[in-house]
Amino acid sequence: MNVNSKSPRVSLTLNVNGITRECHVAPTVTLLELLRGELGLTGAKRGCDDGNCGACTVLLDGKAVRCCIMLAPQARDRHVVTIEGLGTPERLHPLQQAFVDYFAAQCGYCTPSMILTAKALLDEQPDAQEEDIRHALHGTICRCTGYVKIVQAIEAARDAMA
Amino acid sequence: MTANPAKLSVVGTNVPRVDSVDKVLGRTKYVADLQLEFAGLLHAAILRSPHAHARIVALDTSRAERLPGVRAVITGKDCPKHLATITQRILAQDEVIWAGEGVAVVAAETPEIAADAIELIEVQYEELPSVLDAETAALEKPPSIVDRNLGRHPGLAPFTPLAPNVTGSYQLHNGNLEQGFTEADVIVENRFSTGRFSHSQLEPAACIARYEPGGNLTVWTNGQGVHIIKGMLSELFALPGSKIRVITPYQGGSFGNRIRFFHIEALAALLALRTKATVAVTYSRREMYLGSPSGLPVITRIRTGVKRDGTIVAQELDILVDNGASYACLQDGRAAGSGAICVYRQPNISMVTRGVNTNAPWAGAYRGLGSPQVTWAMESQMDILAERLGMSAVDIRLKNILSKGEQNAYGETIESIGAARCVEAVAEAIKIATPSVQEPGPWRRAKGLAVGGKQNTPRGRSEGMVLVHDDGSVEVRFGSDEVGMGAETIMAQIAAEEFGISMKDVRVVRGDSAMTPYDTYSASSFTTYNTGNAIRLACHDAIKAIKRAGAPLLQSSEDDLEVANGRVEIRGVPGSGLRIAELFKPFSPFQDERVTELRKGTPVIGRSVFAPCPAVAWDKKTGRTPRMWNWYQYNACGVEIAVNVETGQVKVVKAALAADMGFPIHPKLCEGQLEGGLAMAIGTSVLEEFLYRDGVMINPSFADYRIPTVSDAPTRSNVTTLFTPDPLPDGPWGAKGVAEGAVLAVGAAIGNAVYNATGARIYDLPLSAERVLAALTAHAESVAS
Repeated sequence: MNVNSKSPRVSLTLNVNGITRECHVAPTVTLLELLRGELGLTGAKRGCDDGNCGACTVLLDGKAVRCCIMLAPQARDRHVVTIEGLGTPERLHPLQQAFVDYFAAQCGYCTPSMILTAKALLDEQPDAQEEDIRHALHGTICRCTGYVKIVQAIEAARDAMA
Repeated sequence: MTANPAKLSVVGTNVPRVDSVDKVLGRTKYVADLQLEFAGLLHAAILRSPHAHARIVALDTSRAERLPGVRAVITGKDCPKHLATITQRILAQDEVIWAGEGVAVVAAETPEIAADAIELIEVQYEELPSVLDAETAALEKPPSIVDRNLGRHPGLAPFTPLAPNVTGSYQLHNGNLEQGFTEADVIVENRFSTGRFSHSQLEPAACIARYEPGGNLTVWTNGQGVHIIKGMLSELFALPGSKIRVITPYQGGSFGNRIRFFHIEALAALLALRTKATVAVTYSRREMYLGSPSGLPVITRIRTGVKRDGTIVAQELDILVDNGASYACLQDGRAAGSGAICVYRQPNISMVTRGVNTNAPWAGAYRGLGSPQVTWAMESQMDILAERLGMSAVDIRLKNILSKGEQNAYGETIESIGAARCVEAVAEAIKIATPSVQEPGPWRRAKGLAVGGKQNTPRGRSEGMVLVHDDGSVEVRFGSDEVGMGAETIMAQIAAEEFGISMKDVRVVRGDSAMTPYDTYSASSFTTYNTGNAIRLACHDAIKAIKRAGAPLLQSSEDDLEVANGRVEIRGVPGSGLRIAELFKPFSPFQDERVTELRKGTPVIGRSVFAPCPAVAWDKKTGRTPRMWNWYQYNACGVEIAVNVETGQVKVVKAALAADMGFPIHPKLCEGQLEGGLAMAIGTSVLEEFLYRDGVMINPSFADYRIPTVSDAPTRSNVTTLFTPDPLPDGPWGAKGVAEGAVLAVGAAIGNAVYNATGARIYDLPLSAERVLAALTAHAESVAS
């Protein structure tokens, strides 16, 4: 999505996937627009624009946030992790590997947000149980899977990371 | 051909999805992710009607056109005057016919300028009466006529509508209905309905159209069916098909939303042709509700006569399918009606189906094409009958389910039906005969079950193409979709199995009209059957070519050769032949006059056409025919629910789904369809409904139109999926389809369980808390009096 060229720009520095980035954006630009439009990180998706589907979830200082309802300047001097910062084809993160092994991705549109939401949970609570996982996923919608295989994958990743 | 699992090495196994590594890394590209690749990309915004029905008295776009950065403003008068076969008019003409219909579209240098520009367009409307209720719309004198040209559209066969909004009708009559009712011991008559609901796939509709020098047009879209969309654009803009290329990258779900009704592709193409630039049209979530298709609301009236032993002896059905504001659509309700025909033996039957227009968003294909809505009625009725007869829910169903080899009411001979085993499997899984354990508090628990069948629509042809490259690897090309169900994986499995190679040696090319042979779209659960059969036949064609190439070199006859593990060898003599890659050595085989197959050049190409069924026809008076549809998938659902008698909230605590998909080519992908279908159907059965005020939808957002979150789905260990396949003779390894079956029986299973929990029978979906509470209150009052 384009950034409104008419607005005055603000400068901000933020760390994205371990790299410090300096950006000049319109103050009304959302963090999602910054990531997708300016930085080309399209793993975070746009599904609703009002924070209800969770497809735009990224980690902000380790917490899962919906970046479509967050202005980019709110991320000033903070650490953002997107799905692109997690693993590589040769070395998938255990959550990514579990999503492959358990067929937890169907259309794949919610997959980055599901994995990042689960990462925030397991980082804070490495022994999270099914109930905790369901609680954490509550704000992230999947229309394809019925959530069964997503929960299974997260449990498997939890065990693999233990 | 049916499967012998012992002889299979890839088909029937849970190989990793071919697309999953990219998906978990966030590298998979969807249409909106491609926008950065286009310098100078223009963005569109659409002005939509605020009224359900109004005459456009004046439309002034001059202020919008003068806004700096605006490159084009298009209204109905700029659109092609004719309609393409599968697309309605793309912008309103003299009248708007639903709240949300496009009136004008702007292309501008930024999305913000486009959004500003549509606010500068001045429209003067004169409001007209509207109709949202299908039964009112179907009257001889409806308050509103939605499509004033119905029956008189140029290019379509003229006809006289049965009533001004009735778009078509189908009738089926078999046996002697009056005699049947005379013989019946119990007769029950009811009216059931379903609400308007949305596919709500997570990826909103998006399209990018690029005008190229020489008048070529390339379109990237998440619409389904690259060849279908290409044909539509060619027809609409009178462009030769060879000048149009349609590409669908990965698609973030569809569930029927992105087949037909290709407004977004037509608008993007029109703007690209007008501006001679590249234009993106991207719907917001709000526009997905207001401007894209919904599912079909259906009203079903059933009168059933049964004998004391549960045998159905008379069935009378009247089915009314709400098309919404369709334009030049000839929906007759026949597909929805099939849901009432394909499960049970019904010797004396009369069914009348009708399609009707209303002033709501155009309603169309949605997982099941009306069958789940009719199954809701049929299966609620079965439980009502069972109770009247003092029979169990299982026994009355098993008494009436059709057997293989029998004829259904259409006159079709059933080739494959696993319905009875589906019922038995879910009854066992949820222990239907064991009452639920009640806990103190407002929640009442109970169980319920239902079964349904879904026709497979015979549709067009699928072509397969398989390329054998000079390294011996195999490339599969197909023109259908990957909307998330795993079609790419299934096609790769088929090729790996046929060539006796591993999945890593198979590559898939899909979703590009310039690279793939013709196919339709992924719909009606037919991709495994249609495209799968085509790929399988193309593999056979390529294997034959390789044997033909290998035979002279191996001094053997083609019939004595086999292709496996990347080698062509004498059957039963491992190590006797040569690696397929060796056939492609630079000189010798090509120079060998005997190796005719290689003299066609490389890669070796296998091709096929799979056209499963000729155009169907039926007796105009009785509606009967030996072949109405291709085949039927079956599915039963058993649930345990909890209903809160203080709030009316219904929760599905436990669920079992049993599916007859013919044969599971990938069991885990089949499970995924069942689990996903369960959650989706919990949504349409309990949560989801379009709400209207003055003809305008008032809940077009995920906040207000609530689709199931993980909290609405049963916990992992409380979902059971079961396979009860009955192989289809001409399915690949016996496979039929599975995706739509998953949503068939969930609603009625929940409704039956709610009745078993509370004694209140609810006839209308969804079972929203408000509706359930009202029914509980009415029931309590009727018991008291």
